[in-house]
Amino acid sequence: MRRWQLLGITCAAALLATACTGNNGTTTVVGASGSVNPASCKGVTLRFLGLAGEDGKAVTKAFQAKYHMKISETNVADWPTAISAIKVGQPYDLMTVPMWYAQRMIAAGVVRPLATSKLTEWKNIFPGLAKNSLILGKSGTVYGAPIAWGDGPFVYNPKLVSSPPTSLLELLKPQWRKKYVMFNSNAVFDMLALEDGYKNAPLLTKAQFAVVTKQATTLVKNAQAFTTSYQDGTDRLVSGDAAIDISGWEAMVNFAAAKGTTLKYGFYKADLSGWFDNLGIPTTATHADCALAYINYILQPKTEAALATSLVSGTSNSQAVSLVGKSDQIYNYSTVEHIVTSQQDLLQFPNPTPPNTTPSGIMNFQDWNNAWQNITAGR
Amino acid sequence: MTLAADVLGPPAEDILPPLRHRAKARREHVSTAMLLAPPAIYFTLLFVVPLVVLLVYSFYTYQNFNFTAKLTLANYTEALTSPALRDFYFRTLKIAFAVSIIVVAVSYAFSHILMYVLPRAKRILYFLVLVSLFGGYLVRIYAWRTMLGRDGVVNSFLISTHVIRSPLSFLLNSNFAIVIALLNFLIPLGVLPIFSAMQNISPRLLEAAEDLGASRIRTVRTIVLPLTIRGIRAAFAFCFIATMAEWVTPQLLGGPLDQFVGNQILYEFGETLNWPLGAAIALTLIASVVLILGVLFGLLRLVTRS
Repeated sequence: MRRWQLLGITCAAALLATACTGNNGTTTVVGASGSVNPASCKGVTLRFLGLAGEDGKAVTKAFQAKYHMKISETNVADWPTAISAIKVGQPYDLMTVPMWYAQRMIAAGVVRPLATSKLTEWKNIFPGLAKNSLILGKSGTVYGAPIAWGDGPFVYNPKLVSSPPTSLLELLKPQWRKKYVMFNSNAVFDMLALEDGYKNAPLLTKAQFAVVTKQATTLVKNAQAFTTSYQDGTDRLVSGDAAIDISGWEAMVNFAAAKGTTLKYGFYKADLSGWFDNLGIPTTATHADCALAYINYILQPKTEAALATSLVSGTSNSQAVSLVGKSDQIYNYSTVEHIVTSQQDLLQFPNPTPPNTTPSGIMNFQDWNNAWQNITAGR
Repeated sequence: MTLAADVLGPPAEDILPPLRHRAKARREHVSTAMLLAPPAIYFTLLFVVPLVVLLVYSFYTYQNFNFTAKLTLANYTEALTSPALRDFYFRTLKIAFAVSIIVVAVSYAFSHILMYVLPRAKRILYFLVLVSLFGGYLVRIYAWRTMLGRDGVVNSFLISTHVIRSPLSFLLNSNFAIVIALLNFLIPLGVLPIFSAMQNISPRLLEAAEDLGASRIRTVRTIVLPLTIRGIRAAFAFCFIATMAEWVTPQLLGGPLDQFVGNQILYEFGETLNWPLGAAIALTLIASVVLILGVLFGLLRLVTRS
């Protein structure tokens, strides 16, 4: 075979591979046809990709035993890794769809729409979550089932921090220099904007964005390191290398407890943002119907209550609230209920980044990216 | 032709029809092809095809967290002209040069000691160098985190010996930590080619130099160094390429302002899902590494010739 022929075949193979990776798999609604019957999933192993604990493995033992199902979990270091894994075609049946990345996942064709009519508890999911625009596609289709929610906490090592910060802006002061870690994410612009009182965040004007960018530059310069995941953040706090993880997760307290270290969480006074995580079905799923049956079980009040307890988070099922032990309720549901019950209060779960296209005078996602790139480049 | 040949004529195999020759040649071709096939397939599938895929992606258009097959040069324009990306390139280049030079210097000195100062222990020491390659790189990075951390081995030792009062913060999450971990990883890879090159030098040459009254330094400069230049080149290239492509070490041991261009590629692929730009940056990086090494080695050839 001549060299040019070999080169031609190689290029053709590469182009084919390109075409294949560009294919995002099926995007049909899961459970749209036929019924979701877990009995037909006997012996199936569901492959989960996402945050540790959110696979629900620990709280679904009875379900797994009844249907001889297994859950194999792959805990991702970060969301970009999870998205890339699906984009290149790695087969997973379930994945965490965090609100912050949900729209990106939907746009990139990473997750499939869910047939919520097949989810028996869907009617009891707090509307602030179930009808949140972040998990909806263009036609209003739902792409993720909310399983946990919470306030945006910071997590700290009480041995190293006697009086935790009350504001993100406090961390700009020299005394906090090299004491905290954070994610390498431009979502921090949104947190700072809310601290600055810009209620329109993440839709910021040029002048507002200039203020936020300046603060973010100092915040990054003063940070000790970028964390790669919540586990990484936990490790850094446990080892004492960092005192605070400014964008933490309450579950980190449990991760650290398993390692024999006490960590605590706190909230910024400005109540920067809430979060909610969902279970979604990736486009590469091979057991999509079984995954939907599993999600259905997770959403049951008892399971949801157990999950909320194990994740140190809020429950997404209104019927599960009374089942969460008083001591395990980290939120006072009676006072924060409006966050998740009212659709009017969707601002409590804002998308932390602006869209690609914004009205004139408002900074868009690319502007945020460019600014973040400049900051991390040390400009 | 010999007398026997004159009498008996050409050997039987020479007068056999060319068919037999052809069959033999075909067999040789087949066996050569079978020998080459596994590495060729491996190389093609895992290196050439992904590279071509990357090349194709780099011309795609990015829009709304997805990309389409609408071809554009915009990604290359961005990769080559963005001031921020230029800073990432220079930051990476600076560390890559520093690490490569240190690795070559240390590996050269170490190989020289093995060959000429401790020749009896060279096998054991060389084996120890090889053993150090067995440990996984990630495991070593986490080990460095434990050693260089606030309550790590280094700080604890310095505090217990009253050298310092409070932990040194620059040890971890800094360029220092990145360089230390990379040196730990790359020095064995630097020793291998340099030591091999030194082993190929005939001891007679060194004896001749000694007999002619050359000092040890002159012997190294005029004989050992020119004859090991290929080893040095290989060691430098190994380290330079490996460091330029790094992203794990800066992410786990570096600070927020110590990220490499590799981290930026990761950011584009993951955080913004801008695969076309990520691919363009990656290919620009590959091209720049090839260019830099080409220029460096060209200059080195000119110097050694002169």
